Amino acid sequence: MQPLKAVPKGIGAVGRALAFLGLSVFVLGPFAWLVISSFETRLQLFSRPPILFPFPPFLGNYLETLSDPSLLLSLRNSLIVATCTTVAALLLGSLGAYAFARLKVPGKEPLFLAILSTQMLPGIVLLIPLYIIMRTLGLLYTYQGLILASLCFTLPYVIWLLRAFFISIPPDIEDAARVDGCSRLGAVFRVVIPLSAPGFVSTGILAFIAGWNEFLTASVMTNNATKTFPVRMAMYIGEETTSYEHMFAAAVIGTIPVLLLVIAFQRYIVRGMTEGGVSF
Amino acid sequence: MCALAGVLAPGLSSLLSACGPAAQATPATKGPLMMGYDDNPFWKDQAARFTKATGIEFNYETIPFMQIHDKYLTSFMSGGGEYDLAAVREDNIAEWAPNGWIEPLDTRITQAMRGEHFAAAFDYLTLDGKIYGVPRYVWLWQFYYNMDLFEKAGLSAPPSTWDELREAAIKLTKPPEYGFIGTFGNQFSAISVYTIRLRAEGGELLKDGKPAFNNEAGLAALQWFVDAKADGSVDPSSFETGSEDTTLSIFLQGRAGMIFGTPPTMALASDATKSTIVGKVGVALAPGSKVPSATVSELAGIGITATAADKDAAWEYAKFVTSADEEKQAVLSTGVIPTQVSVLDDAEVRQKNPAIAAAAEQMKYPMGMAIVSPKQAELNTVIGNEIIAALQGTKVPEQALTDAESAALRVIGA
Repeated sequence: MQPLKAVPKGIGAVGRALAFLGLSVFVLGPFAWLVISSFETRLQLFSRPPILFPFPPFLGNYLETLSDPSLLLSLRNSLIVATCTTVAALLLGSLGAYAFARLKVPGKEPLFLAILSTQMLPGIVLLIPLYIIMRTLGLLYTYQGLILASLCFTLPYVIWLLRAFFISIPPDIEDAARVDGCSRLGAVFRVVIPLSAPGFVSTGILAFIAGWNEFLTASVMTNNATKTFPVRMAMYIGEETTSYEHMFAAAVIGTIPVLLLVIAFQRYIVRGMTEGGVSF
Repeated sequence: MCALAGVLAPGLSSLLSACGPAAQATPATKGPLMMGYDDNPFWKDQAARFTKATGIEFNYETIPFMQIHDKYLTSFMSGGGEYDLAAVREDNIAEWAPNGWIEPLDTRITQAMRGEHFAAAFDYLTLDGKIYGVPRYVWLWQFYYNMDLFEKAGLSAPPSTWDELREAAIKLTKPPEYGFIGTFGNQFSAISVYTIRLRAEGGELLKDGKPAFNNEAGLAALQWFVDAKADGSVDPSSFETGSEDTTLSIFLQGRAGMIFGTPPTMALASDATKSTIVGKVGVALAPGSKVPSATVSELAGIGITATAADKDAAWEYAKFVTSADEEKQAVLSTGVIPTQVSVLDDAEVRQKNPAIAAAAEQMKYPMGMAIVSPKQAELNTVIGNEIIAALQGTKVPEQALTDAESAALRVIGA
């Protein structure tokens, strides 16, 4: 077999740059198209050939979307539900993950797999049981009901992700804390969780995004007062027509909170992705 | 609790489905009436007018149009009780009435009420001899054409037969302008346009709940579209997109000569921010063949749920929103096609929307949903896929129809 010839340095750099550019276009292209479309009138949206750079940009879609109280309410509702879901999932999930990572409990592994297996179920099969439970508890059309329902889908993977972070922390550090007088719970909150901060942040952001985008349960468990952003977005698809121009503007607006969150915690996310790993 | 729900869910869901009439739940306690429908402001304002007129409290819940069925179904399958009224169409009745989720209204509907609507209106809301809804409007597919392109092509009148339509389409085609445009990229739209053509041949997609299209009429209908595609007179986008908005927008930009459009078509065509063919759109009877004309439609009615706590109050609402005065306002505000004869004939209504006069005539011919069955969604998928396969050229029409029939029979368990 002939040895591979070394690629000249310049060609390698150009190749990497082209690959990076191609990947960027692939990843960012749809979003860029969404942003561009949000500044077009309906006539421009469907024009052939497509208008790549509408000039002057049409701001009417944003003005109309932002002046719609129901959209602003839905953004607020989504913020409440996604934030509460994230906090609850991290709080409960960290305790569950710790138990699975450290405690010696009979049947721990099958139980862990059972919790994970709930993620394999299509969400639709949970819908009616959840609906009945929420109605029985009087939580239908409430934030609490939505948060609980959202937790059903979020908690298993939060436990799964955090368990991997906890396992990656040497038990000796925790033992040292306990020798110094910490209780087990004290060691969890004073040592394990602080050391897992990057993992908490990246897991938290994933949980927030899941809560923010959750549509299935929200589409049946919300009413006019508690409608979340994804459900409000779906209302742009009407019987008469689909209001793409407003849908695009609303989609851009709805991306901003998540984008800000990711930018704010970018440093932790990268560390979380690289440090934790995922192990069973 | 959640993990338990996850484990039990499939079983519970199947159980609920198998139980059928899950509406054994106790009726909701009396309170404000509740109904959910889309967020068109007119319906919300109408609910407020009802309360003002009758003093009966009413909660109007806005639901994304595409989620209305699923939201009601989830409520019904969970025992119901949330909603007192439901917007019902033919397919909803076929699914909900056998399960006992909606009330028969025969004892409440008077002969006078029947006489107010076009002749067959109540037939579409009837199942096994019982009426489950009061007609509110019709979602009628009508034949629209670009008068400007017709004039340029030397065509003096819209086609009255499908053969004429094809000839006209060929004359109108000067790429990037095409003679005809449809939406054949999604099953529902493909089935709708195919059914219009099929009905013109005197056929139906289903008869007595069983497939009835694998015959001479069905083949002639499907072959028509395959041939029209081959001669290049159908806009290529028709076969690429599943979005009716996209194909309608192409028509509204003057790049297609003919289209089967839904009620908002004329209003959109008259809006200069959405159309470049303002004042150039004509509407005519759908072309015929063995039958003079035929189309598809959805009859939108108001029904009362089985768990409604105060059915008399719910009936008051059904009467109020289907009155001639309210229907006229709905037509003027939303562009829907009325069911009441007096509104169909109303001069103000006809002036506002020229499609109404043609609609009154169109409604004398075969119409209704292409598939009315408790298995509507599944049938729509399996039949639609085969029609699309024929139009994409991956199957010959004969094979596509045979496969569609076999798949449909499997779905209905025959």
